[in-house]
Amino acid sequence: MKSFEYGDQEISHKEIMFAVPSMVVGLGILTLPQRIAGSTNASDGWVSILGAGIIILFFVWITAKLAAQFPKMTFVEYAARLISKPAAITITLLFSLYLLMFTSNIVRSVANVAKDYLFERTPLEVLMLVFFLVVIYGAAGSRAGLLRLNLMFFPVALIVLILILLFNLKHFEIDNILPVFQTEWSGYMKAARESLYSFLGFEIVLFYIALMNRTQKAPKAAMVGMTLPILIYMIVYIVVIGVFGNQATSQIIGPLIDLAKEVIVPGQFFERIESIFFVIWIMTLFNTTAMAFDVSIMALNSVFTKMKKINLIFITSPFVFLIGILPNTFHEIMTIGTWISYFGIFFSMLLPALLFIISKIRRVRGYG
Amino acid sequence: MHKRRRLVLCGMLLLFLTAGCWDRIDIEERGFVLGTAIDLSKNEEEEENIEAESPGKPKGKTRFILTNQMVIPGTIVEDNSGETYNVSASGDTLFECVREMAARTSQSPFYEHNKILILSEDVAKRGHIPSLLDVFLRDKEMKRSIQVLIAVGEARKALEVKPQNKEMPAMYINSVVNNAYKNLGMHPEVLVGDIHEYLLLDESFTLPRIMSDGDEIKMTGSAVFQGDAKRMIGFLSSEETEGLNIIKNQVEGGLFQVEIEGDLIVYEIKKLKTRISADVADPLRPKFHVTVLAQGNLGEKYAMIDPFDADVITNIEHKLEHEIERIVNSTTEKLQKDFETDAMGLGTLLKRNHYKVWKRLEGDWDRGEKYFTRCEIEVTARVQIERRGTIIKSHGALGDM
Repeated sequence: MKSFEYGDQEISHKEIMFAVPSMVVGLGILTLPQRIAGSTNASDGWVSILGAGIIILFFVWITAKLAAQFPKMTFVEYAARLISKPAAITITLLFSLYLLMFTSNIVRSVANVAKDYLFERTPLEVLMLVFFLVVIYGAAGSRAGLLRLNLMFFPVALIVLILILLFNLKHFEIDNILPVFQTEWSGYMKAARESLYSFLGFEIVLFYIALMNRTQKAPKAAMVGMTLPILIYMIVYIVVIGVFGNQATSQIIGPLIDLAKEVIVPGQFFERIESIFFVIWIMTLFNTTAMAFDVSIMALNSVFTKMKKINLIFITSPFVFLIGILPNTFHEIMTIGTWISYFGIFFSMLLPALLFIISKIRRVRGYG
Repeated sequence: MHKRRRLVLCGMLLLFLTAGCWDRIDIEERGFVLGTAIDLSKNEEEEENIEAESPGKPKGKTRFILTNQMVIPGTIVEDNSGETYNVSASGDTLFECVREMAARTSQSPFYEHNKILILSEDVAKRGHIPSLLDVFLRDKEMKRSIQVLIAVGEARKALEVKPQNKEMPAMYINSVVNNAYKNLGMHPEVLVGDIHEYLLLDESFTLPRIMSDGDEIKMTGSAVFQGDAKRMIGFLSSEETEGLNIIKNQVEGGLFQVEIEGDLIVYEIKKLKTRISADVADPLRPKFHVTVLAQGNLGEKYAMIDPFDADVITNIEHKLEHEIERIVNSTTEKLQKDFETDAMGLGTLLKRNHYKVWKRLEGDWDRGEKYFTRCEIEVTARVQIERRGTIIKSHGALGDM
């Protein structure tokens, strides 16, 4: 018995617009400046972020366009029409597996950061469990509700991020930004490749667009959503470089965390703003994780149509949790993260592009 | 009914999960560290003791004494006053010092509110700064915004001052730096994070100097660090620091005194801007033009002159221009000839504006071939007196005695 149920389980283009940045902005934003500062000169890294962002926008368009061609059809249904049923099922299962791995990696990483900065003595497993239970709760509920949550959380996260950047302008030194455009081409390329990984995650629109009633607006909404992370990353990068300088940034593992630590609110009343920052950051990470988990369940559900969603969640979640516990060191988590990113490149860029080309060549269209 | 019982059971289980916190530390048990001082240990007896207690232990190059200033939380009242106590411990590494300290105090030190780090002259001169700063950057409890100072003599003496207004010593030192807008000879604050950048870039830099005597501290002058050797090579006096501040365009205020007609007049700086342009016609011998533009008021006048006479004012302005040029030249001379260290950021200027030239000079700027010592620095000052005060004369002519 449920006392309240949302009237419709449909979403509009607005939900898609917010789902994309909520999904994309996650772990990567903490470490991105460090990863690109090393291979670029002074503040030149923003060029690479922009470059990678433009490439990503193109793929976002393809991905959303592909899904929008088949309104009200699940991924496995339209993939089956494009590349035969067995192939579609295999790919959907792999997709689900990839997202489950992604979920477990984030759950572990969030717990790690929380342990490092917030709960020093709480066991890691407990932190993971607490976070993951909330994620399970989120994914078990209404799907449209989860997507609407993005509309609420993301602006809050954005405001806090902007405040952190603003309070740091005091430490900003223009000298750190100069000289401009002195980076070698290879440096730009390397940094662009690094930033590419931080833009992954938008592949969820392949699934979520199926919830839309009218899909024409989806590609544009997804692209508008994607410009937000691009802008955020560029601004964060420039502020980080301006505050810490290029060399120091390339040596600080989480520049954004350190930026949050430097915040001094006038009046000397508030110190240690980073705890607030972490709360907000974990909120966005909740969105990312819950959507990743939800889409993987959605993918499984589209293959095993007879199973109930809640049962799929109960079957998969112990595995997700255990895989999250497995790695022992920071290094291992990073290695697994890198491998997941490689899969991400396949599922978010290669696969949609391939399916899109096939749909154009074979002129397969949806019923809509 | 059944459903309800299950809900109650769930609720009770939740109590076990949610109540309690692994990370609870009562505020009384936290030793809030406000300031840290590091000295070299010279105690030989102690070293013998360690040798006896743990003979096989790996030994560092030197032993340090770490002094933490901790505050007693209950005593803090407004305006930074409260009771503090200092704890010192020695060790080969800072972490060892902290561990040693834990054996002596009831409160576990908590560094997240740490404001200042004072290093003794000896520590800096022997080149220990890079290794000592590591923990201040690496440890997640540390902020990158801790202020770093170099003490003349022993560093912990500075934390032992007893300010007249009952402020906590560390907070007192921390707030003295904010007076930089009134004193030209004070070096602006330098943070741990800034030094990280300097050390990574192998840049030469300067840190504020702190001198203490019992009740008071004085924060004029600066310590010069050579970027290649990464150790301190000497102090700049208060006046030389004035020159440094002018060159680096970090003047927030202060005064100049010039002699005119046998007596002094005081010029109060309102705005001072410095522009440096580099002439790289000869890439190995860049020429720097330093242009100083000062605007300010006539603050105090001992000399018997008429401040509303245009000629007199022009005369004063010229005198001031010469004074500024003299101060700046004394600094550049000291840095070029004595220290052979570019702590003025001229290299950074080249890097910013003439990247190609800098790429050639980089390895031989204030190291190797030392091109820095041979480059020409030309100073021109322009001074404007805007206001002359609210009166013309404060007294009649003074008779000769």
